[in-house]
Amino acid sequence: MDEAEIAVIGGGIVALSVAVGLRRLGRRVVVLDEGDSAIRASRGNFGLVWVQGKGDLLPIYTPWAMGAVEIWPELAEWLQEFTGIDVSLEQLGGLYLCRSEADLALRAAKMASVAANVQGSYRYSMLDNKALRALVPQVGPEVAGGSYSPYDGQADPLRLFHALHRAYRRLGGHYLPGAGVASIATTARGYSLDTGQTRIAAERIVLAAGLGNAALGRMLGVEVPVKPVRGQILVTERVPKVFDLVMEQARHTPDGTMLIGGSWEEGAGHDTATSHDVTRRIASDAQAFFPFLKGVNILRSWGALRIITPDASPIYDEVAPGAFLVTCHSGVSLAAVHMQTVAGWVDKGAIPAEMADFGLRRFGNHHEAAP
Amino acid sequence: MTGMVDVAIIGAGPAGMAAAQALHVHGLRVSVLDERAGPGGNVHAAALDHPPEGAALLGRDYVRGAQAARAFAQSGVPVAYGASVSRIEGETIHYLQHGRLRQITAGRLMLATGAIERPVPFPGWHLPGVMGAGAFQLMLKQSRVVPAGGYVLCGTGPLVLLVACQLLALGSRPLALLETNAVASPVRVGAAHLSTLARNAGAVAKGLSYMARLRLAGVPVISGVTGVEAKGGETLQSVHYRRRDGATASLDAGMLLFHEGVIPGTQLGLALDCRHRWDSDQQCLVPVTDEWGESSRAGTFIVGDAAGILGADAAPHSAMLAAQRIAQQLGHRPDARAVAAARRALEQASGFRRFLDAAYRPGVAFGTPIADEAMICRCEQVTAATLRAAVRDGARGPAQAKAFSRCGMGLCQGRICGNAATRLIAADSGLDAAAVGGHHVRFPLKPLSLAELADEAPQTEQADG
Amino acid sequence: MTGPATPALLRRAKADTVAFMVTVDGLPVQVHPGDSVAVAVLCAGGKPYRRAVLGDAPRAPYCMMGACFECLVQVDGVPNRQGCLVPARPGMRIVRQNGLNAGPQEGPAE
Ligand SMILES: Cc1cc2nc3c(=O)[nH]c(=O)nc-3n(C[C@H](O)[C@H](O)[C@H](O)COP(=O)(O)OP(=O)(O)OC[C@H]3O[C@@H](n4cnc5c(N)ncnc54)[C@H](O)[C@@H]3O)c2cc1C
Ligand code: FES
Repeated sequence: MDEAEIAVIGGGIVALSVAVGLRRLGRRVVVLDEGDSAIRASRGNFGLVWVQGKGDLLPIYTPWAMGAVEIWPELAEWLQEFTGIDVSLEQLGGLYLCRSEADLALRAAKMASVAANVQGSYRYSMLDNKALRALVPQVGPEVAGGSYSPYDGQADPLRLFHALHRAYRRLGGHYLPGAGVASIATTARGYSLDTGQTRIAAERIVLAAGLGNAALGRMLGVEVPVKPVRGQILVTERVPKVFDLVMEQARHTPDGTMLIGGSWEEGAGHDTATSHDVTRRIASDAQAFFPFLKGVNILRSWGALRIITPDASPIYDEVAPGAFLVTCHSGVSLAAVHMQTVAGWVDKGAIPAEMADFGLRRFGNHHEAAP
Repeated sequence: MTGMVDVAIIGAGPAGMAAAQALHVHGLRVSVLDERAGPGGNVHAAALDHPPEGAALLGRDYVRGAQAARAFAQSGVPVAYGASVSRIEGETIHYLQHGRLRQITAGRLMLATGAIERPVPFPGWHLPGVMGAGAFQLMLKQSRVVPAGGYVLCGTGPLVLLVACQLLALGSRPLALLETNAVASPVRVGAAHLSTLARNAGAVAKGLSYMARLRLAGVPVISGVTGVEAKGGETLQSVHYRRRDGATASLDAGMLLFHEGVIPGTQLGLALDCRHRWDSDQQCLVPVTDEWGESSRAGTFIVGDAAGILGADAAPHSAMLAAQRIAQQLGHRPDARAVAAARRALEQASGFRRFLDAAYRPGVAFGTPIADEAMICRCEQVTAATLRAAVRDGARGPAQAKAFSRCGMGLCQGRICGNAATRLIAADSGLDAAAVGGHHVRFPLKPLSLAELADEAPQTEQADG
Repeated sequence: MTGPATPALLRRAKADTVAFMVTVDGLPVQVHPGDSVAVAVLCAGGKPYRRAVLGDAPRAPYCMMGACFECLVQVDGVPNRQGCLVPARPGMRIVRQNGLNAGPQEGPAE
């Protein structure tokens, strides 16, 4: 039986951000991950480092996200230095495009409520087609408008994912792939995790397994309200870079391709397949947004599952003594705070004030731990 | 071709043509799709573009194949040529033809997409001038072309010998034939397969005659070659290798035609999540099917070399089995005699294939580990060294390795690097290749433009069936 | 990029059909029925078949069966066609792809 101070369950961006943070604090950590074909949002996401729209349903999420993107450059720099991997962080501002006037009106209301969460210290502007095209001339004439905010940006999510794994290994972390946790038992000294093949003893555990947190929570008698929301994304062949701003609907990657997204599908369950109808709608929208893309080739499409809570905000909670739940949708945007503040919380066991209201409590009593 | 059929067949090679004709005879509605511009598949591509007399030059097999293609063209089976399958979703097949995305629905699907030449990464294999010997043979058949300058044939298996002879017949002589066979003496292997060989005397005689012709033409045959490397700048300039005695040698050449056998083309089956197994003897993925060719995806059959390599002669027989099974599933009486004949033929073909597999082992592909500088993923220019780093960073399969290194993320979507990547990850991680598994394939199966995908009025009828 | 002319990789050993013309980068090239676009470009020579988007590396067809995508060319204004699968037709305008798909202005006609 293997043994560690802290066992982090999950192998995605969130788990690795926390695990790297814990290694940097000198903790003995083991990361337990599933196999190669596991569902991993970390391999399928869009790579936005994003504040826009965050916190409309949970006000404290706005300042948390603003703080997260503010310290992101330190993370990028450290990863470059320590792993040699350039995660290509760019924080030059971001846009959300609205094809119709109705979409634009909804967007304006959402942005206003987000700004209200931080007493107006959040800068953004709503743009009509003309203002939008002054900023990004390639936008099509039929697009109603969009919202702009200077805090937003992008990083390459796969390089980030790789860099985190490499950093963790270089820090001497112990990584066990193909070791999905099948059951959790409490012991006198903490927890014993059973993977079916091996058992791991740890004083503390971190539940950071994305959608897998629902099952892990149940092993501890806790209901973790995460559900999958599928997003389908298209990737193009390499194209010349035409804009620096990042858009929620399209972005240039550092490799030269463009990502075009994305759908929001609630009823797809755990199915990561793509469909003709949805990819066609995405292509049709993209043509309207950016007419210059018409002749550009789509190389692939994929479906990835967002990890969505009822208020689309993260959950940080010590769900049982020494069992820390960390789950969120925006693992890329929040990577830097996960490595610092969240890892610090797991290390010390005391929750910092800024994280205190992200607990399960907010969803109602029936989510509380039933020992 | 109508929008709804009983069976859609992907691929108009020997397997697809035979299945289509057999189903047609049963009165079932069939439609065949092929990316190529005419029937014959890869083995007999462009057969109809040449006068029959000229075919003799390429050997008797080619003449027969050309005849089959002609017969198929006249059979009245609806076919869409230049039709590239983009996506299959449920019973709907979306394919791109003449710049439009079109759809047909089919209750049954038959994948007859054939084999690909085993992609074998070695240093410099991405240089212009290096290509598959099988790939070259395709051009030779379609266009009667030969290398413009000096060239080397390299690899193992009967195909290399055949190509050499076809080139000689066209008046072109290779500088040398470098044999990479991991088995020193195919003859000795033959001794263990005597009864098989006796039953396939024709094929054996063919093989021996190729060797004789090469010798007669004075082509140097160097066996036991390892450590193949291609060097050059804008194009290939020289081929380097190690001789059996360990000494290194090189030849200046403008082309290197390399071949170490073929493996099933699994791209479509993988995209459909059909179950595959790792064939540890041939070191490749093979779809899992029942004795009729039906895959783990109910209603999807895989036939011909796409289902496992048995060669062009055997392909119509596995197709025949699937066709009879489908006929039966759809309430027709299967042709029992055809089924029995097909089973016999397949059995004989597998016996001979076992001999060929044992006698001609890919020495470069199965031999030493892939050299660090070899570009495993040609599309994204990922070297073996980079892929190894991904394994060191924890990747234990093609999906994670792709996320870490971009291996398999390019235009070919793993068609060329998939096999080598699985083998390398297995070797470096100590896992079994079967546990490592194959790469995931996403739609669209081939690139298409945004405008093509967004097509506001998709057509279900096609004009020129 | 210019440099010494790259020799053609192929020559025709035998012609049993009637030749016709296509253009490769604007220059006339004689081809025969059965020829793929890839063969036409390989017979033309003068320059590498294409240059990869990444690092400008020279590349040429590898598989001739639609798998490797090393044969991408622009045919009659449509970029990224697999030259090995497209038969040459009289008057076809074939343009080599050097690096990025030149994009919008050369996309398929609407
Ligand atoms: C379409 C889409 C677009 C997105 N775009 C963005 C974006 O632009 N910006 C942004 O910040 N975020 C984005 N995200 C979200 C981001 O991808 C996720 O927040 C992040 O990947 C979540 O990481 P994770 O580690 O929680 O989960 P995952 O990456 O899903 O990883 C979960 C891991 O847990 C493992 N696991 C599960 N169960 C067990 C078990 N029992 N035992 C051991 N291991 C287990 C799995 O194998 C896997 O490795 C997007 C997501 C999607 C789907
Ligand atoms: S040469 Fe490989 S796809 Fe055309």
